[in-house]
Amino acid sequence: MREEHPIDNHFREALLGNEVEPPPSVWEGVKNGRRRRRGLVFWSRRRGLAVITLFVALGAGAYWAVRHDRTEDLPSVTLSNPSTAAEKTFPATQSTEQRPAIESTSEATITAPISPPPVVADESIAGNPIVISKRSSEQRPPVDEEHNRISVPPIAIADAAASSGIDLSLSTEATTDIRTALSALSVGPIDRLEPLRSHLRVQAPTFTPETRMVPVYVLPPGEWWLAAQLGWYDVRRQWKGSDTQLSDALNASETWTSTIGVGLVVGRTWRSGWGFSVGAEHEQSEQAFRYVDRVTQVDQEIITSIVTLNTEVIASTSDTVVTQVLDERVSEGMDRRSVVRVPLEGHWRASWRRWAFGVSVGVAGEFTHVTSGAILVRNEPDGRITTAATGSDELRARYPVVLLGTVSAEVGYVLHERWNLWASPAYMRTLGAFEQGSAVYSEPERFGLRLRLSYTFNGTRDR
Amino acid sequence: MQELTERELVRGCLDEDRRCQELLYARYARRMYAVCIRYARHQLEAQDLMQEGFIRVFDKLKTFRMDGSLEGWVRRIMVHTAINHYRRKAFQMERFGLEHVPEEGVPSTAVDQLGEQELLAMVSSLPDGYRMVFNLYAIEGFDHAEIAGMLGCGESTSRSQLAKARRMLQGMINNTTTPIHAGRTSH
Repeated sequence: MREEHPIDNHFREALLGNEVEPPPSVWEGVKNGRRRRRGLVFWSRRRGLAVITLFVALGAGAYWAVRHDRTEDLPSVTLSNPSTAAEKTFPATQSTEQRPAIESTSEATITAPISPPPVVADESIAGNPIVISKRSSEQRPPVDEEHNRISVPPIAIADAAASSGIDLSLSTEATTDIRTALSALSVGPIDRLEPLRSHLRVQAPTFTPETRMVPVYVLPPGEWWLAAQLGWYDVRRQWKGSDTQLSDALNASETWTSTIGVGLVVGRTWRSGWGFSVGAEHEQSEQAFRYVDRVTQVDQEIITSIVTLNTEVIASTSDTVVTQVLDERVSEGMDRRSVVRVPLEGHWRASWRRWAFGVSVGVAGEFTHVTSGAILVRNEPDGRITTAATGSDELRARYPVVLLGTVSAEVGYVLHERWNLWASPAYMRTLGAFEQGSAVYSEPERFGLRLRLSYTFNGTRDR
Repeated sequence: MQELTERELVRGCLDEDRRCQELLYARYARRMYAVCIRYARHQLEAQDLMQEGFIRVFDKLKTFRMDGSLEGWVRRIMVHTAINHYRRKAFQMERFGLEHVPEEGVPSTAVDQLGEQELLAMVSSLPDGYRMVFNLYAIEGFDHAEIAGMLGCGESTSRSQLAKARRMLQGMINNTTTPIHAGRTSH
């Protein structure tokens, strides 16, 4: 049963329908809050999808790069067989870069690998008794291990072509191609190619000692790389400044807050393992804070008792009653910040098999923008600590541009020749703050783990 | 635009018509801000509640079924925003030593002398738990079972908080007519 009390009625009648004009900043806050919430919803709904899309795109790029590396620059020659109407293309041979191949659009593939070839298309041409490239491992051409070269048995090709009526005449382009192919070959006795000359109308290349040498590939002196970075950090801010009471209050309300940062980093690593990187990273964080402002109020009351008879004072006493009241004022709020960081780091790396290890040290400029929320301020009338919206320039100036020192360990794994995955535990601490336009300012400190997926570009190769 | 009905206003807001949104805000802002002040400890907190409450109003407007008062619906959102705000703070029901405050009748003349602002200031100065329960029970008209459910406390706690809030308000009203002679220093 509902109990009614006279005081309830008094307050209900006075307050139930009353109106108070809100300040205009509230409507501005509503509009900004809605806009921000729509952005957050968009971001939160699509963040997972975006990360998946990013990795799928990077994976597709890596796959394309792998396929591209396997098939590019393979010299080839096209043979035509008028007796075979259909064209058939054989798949590319194995992926050794220096392995040239001669492809026939009629049916077959002739390969002339430099290293012992485990390859080749075992293919019989339907309706055509000729087997140009049928070559099993038992039928491999002789390999000169000492000079790492082989001899192509062209006579067999020519004989087979002649007996079957295959026209081995080549177009101008094909001639160029076969020259390229032959020049890339380290073919032994050049005179063995002579029987092919009449059929292929190709001038056997003049081999000089230089061209006969097996190319020696060494690591490039330096390589550029580009990396997408995802970082998980725990951030805490140290408040400093001339207003020690306020900075103490802010420090008391600080807690470690988790954030996620995304960024792009580009760098160069030299053969010695030394290198540098520069990039940009963005993180958005929000931090709930709570501060209890305790003030003890002391009330003193002097009570005087006087006993009089007629006009004479017979007795008098004075007592001082002291009352202490502990007043606690809780201030809470949410502080939202957007941070852009520009790191410049030097690193040293060493590799072991597919693994790489290293350390990096550097500096980073950090730019903080307070997006919304509240922060502790000193209440001017009574000097106590309370909260205020982070809209004023003075409050924004509490987050100056800072220079961070960064140090991290790096562990990498080579996913592919050009793709590396790195994990780097990192620590960042403020070295100095610029443009301190407020009585208090913050200096961030950050622990975290960075994940990088990097792509290495072509380096300049020494031969 | 001033002649828009609630239904037209809601539909305009759902279509993201900025003028309708401003009109809806202007129509209810003054009354809702008074509600927020009653639930908040100070003006800044009231502004936070108001802002958060109206953001929720616009976000949840599609769930308004048009079969009741829009003002009542907005008011409920404001009240629940305030409740959620204090539940997030995990506030505890204060245990002030108010048992010594005698429960006495409040002279109606004393209350009549006070204006809305004074009464509002008294409610705002109540400790969090007292203020919440008093607002919900005495002004909004919820019963103790509903309040207990909303605040996540027991019905008996709600009753005791209400009783203490009343006593505290009585004390404040009485003090406004009693001059204070004690000196006060703050440390």
